Amino acid sequence: MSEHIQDTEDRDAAEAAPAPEIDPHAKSLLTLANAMFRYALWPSLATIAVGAVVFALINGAPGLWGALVGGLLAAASSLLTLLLMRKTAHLGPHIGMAASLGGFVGKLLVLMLVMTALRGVDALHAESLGITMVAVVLVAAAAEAVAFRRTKLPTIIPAAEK
Amino acid sequence: MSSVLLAQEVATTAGINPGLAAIGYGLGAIGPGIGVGLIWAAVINGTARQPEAQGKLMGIAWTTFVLVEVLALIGLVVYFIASGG
Repeated sequence: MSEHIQDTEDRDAAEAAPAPEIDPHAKSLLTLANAMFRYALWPSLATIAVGAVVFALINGAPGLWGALVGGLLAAASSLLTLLLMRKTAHLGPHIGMAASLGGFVGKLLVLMLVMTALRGVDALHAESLGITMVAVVLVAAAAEAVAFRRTKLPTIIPAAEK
Repeated sequence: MSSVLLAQEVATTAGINPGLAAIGYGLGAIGPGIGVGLIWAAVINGTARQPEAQGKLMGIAWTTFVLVEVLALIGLVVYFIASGG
């Protein structure tokens, strides 16, 4: 009998327990990552478009292609950071450090190889590519900083301490 | 005579410029590396002291990481342009 009661209580407790929630720290980081992506997307695309138009007018077709390639490289590098942020959101800060430094090294290596390979390509105008790339990176970073400013990140008090 | 020397000097400078650009890129990558390391070291310290602030600290870390990383990307672009495009 007592076993039966125990069993019932266990079942009740199991039913009453809420579904396993996502880690609140990860939740706030994912919110921030979403906000950063939302804030950075359109300004980056607009900067690529402006760079493409301006450098197409100044330098012709090589300017246009240079600006497009530079803008896309910069956008890809910003997106990689946000992707790493999302993927490591539910892990500790030590993994975040490893991921961000690893991503930093990998990104710079790949970009250096790509830029070295693009150096001799006549179809791309170097200054157009470089200036558009810097502009897109700066705009994306500024937009992400604004997103951080406008996103409220909570301090999580563990349930046991309430 | 002096113009010939000047022309030779210009040619020599143009020849070593790509190498200098690569060295400059390498130097430019050091600063952000140190910066990113300091940022995450502070976050790990802060999380150890106050685990409830982890989400907040990691949000700050990723945002500042993005800002610091811009320096390295600018160094890369300067390398690309200075090395002769």
